[in-house]
Amino acid sequence: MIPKRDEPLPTLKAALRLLGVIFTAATDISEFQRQVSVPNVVKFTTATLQLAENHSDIELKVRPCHPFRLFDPHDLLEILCMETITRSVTSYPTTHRTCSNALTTLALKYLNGTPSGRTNQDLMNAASKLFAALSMIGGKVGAVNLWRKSLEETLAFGWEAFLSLRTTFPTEGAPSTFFLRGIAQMQ
Amino acid sequence: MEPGAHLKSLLQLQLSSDASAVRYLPHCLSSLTAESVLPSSQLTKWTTRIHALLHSKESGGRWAGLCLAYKTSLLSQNVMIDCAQSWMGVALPLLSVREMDLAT
Repeated sequence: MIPKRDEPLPTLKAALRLLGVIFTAATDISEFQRQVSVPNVVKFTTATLQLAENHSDIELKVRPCHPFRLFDPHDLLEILCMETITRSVTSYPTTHRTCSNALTTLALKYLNGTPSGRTNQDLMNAASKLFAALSMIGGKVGAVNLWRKSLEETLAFGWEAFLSLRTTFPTEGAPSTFFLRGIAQMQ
Repeated sequence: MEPGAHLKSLLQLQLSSDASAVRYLPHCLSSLTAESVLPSSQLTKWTTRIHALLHSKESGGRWAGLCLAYKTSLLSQNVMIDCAQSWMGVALPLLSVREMDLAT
C-alpha cells in the first residue's frame, strides 16, 4: 500500500489513464468484468470525481479565457477526469446508479457557466458529453425517462433564463414588444 | 528478432534503475510494439519490473511505472488482464490520496 502523500499531477494523470484502460479495454471478457471491473469501477469513479472537485488550482488556469490556446486542453485534469468518467459510465451504466446525483452535479457545475466569464470550450465539451452519458445509468428501461427528464429540465432552465431577460430601454419602446412577440412565436 | 529480446535490452539498459527509467521513458514507450509484449521468458521480468517501479519510493519511478503499465495494457490485453488486479491495487489508492489529505 502506497503511503498517503500528495502525488504530483503527472502521476495522477498516468494513474487515471491506466485505470481508464483497465476498466474499458476488456468489456468483452465477462469473467474479468465480473471479478475485477464491476466490484471496483464505482470506487474508481468516486475517486476521479473527488479529484475533479478538489482540484481548485487547475480551475485557476481555466478562468481567464484567452482567445489563444495557452495550454493543451487535454492536459487539464478536470477534462481528463470527465472523459474517464464518461467512458466508465458508458461501459458500466447501471453499476453507477449510486453516484448518479454527484455526477450530475459535476457536469452541471461546468454547464451552468460562471459569472466571471466564458467557460472554457473544451471543458464544456467534456461536461456535455458526460451529461449526455448520464441518462444511460437508468439501464435499458429507465434511460429514456432519465433522458427526457434531463432534457425537460434543461429546456425549463433555458426558458427561465430567457424570460428573466430585461431591457434597459423605456418599456413603451420597441424592445419590449419585440421581446413579447418573440416569446409568443416561440411558444 | 526473437520474442522478448527488445524487452530484455530495455530492462538491462533503460530500466536498470528508477532514475534512468524516468530519463529514458519516452524511448521505452515509443519503441514498444505489440510484438515486444508477446509471451516470452522476458515478459514475467517485464511485469515484475513494472510492479517494482509502481512501488518505487520516488514519485518519478511510480510515474514511469504507471506509464509503462498503461502502454503495456494498450498493446496486450492478455498482460493487462493478468496484471489488472495488482496495478489497480496501486493506482486506485493513488487517486484517493487527496481526499484523505483533505479529510485530515
